[in-house]
Amino acid sequence: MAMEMRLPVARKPLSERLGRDTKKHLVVPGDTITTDTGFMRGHGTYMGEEKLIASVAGSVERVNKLICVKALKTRYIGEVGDIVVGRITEVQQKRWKVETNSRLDSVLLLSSMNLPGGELRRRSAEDELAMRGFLQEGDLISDGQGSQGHGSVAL
Amino acid sequence: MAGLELLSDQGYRVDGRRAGELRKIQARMGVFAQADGSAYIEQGNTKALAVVYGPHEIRGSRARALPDRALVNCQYSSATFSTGERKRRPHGDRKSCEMGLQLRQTFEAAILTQLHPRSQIDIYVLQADGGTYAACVNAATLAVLDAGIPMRDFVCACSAGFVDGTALADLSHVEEAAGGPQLALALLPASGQIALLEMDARLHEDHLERVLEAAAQAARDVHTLLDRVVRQHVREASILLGD
Repeated sequence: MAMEMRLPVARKPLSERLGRDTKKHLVVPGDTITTDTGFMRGHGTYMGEEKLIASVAGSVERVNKLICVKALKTRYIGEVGDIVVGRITEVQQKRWKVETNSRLDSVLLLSSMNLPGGELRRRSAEDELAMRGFLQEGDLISDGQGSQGHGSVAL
Repeated sequence: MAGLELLSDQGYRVDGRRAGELRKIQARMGVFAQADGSAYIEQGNTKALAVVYGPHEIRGSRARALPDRALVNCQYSSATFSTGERKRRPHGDRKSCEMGLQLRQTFEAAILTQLHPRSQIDIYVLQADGGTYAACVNAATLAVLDAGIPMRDFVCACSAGFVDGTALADLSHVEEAAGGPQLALALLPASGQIALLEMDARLHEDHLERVLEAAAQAARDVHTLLDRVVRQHVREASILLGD
């Protein structure tokens, strides 16, 4: 009885089997991106000894004079217009802290919450005291307005 | 074991390596899907697994938050089956704490702790066969890279010893147990800066230069290997994500 046997061989990477390649400039931390000081440095880079050095592993993106390195994988970074789902972790003075799996907890300001009846007025002390009545720790919310504020997302 | 020759007349060590030769290193990034970053490394028979969470909001005591930089928290855990004898290691014992502290010092030097309030790095050792600190640091470097946390440079570590007037690089458990002086070095290869240097044995200062150089060269060799692993991983992921 004839039998065919194949010995184990190292698996070829998927990209090779698919026959694809990338034209991007891929860097790892410690790599010099450029020695030209005319460029502005963006995220994922830092200045060291007259050279622009990468600080994350990813692809280099250049927009005119701005060079940044987009990391392969990071925590969620909020962009304007994103819709997010989050869970309330804390009730603070005039705002709620929402967990959205990003670098810092997102903030939901009392002033950005629409009052019932659609009235537009300054939030008073009674509104602050009633905050817990609206949203408590553990509640799940979803929001469609995102804007960056010093590293954390403001909903 | 009386009469165990750590270095033979022909210059071979117990496991057949030369004085400056490293053990076989295999590494993988992105081992766990749940963690922000993870990596697995094998250095000879020493296997280490590193898992990184962060940067994330400080939980627990808000007072520990530093206003201008992130808090790096390292935890070292050794499996009960990791050494020759099965030993139950309670959490928070002296050795784990010391290792955790050393790892924290090493990574605080390398991670660019700026706006992020806190990063947590948990490192787990699966099998300890000599050079556990070095394997932990190498695994943690890959895990931090996998998580996308900005770092100044790779952190590559290696151990070194001194036997019969020759500096040995990358000690295995047998060589460590023999009781000679051993040095652990963590290096940032691009600039040659030392992140951590640790030795708690007696070594004559005339020999220090040589042992340090052997450890530094071995760390640079480790860097070459890790660099290749990271580049391949990034390239593979970049191609498959297809842009």
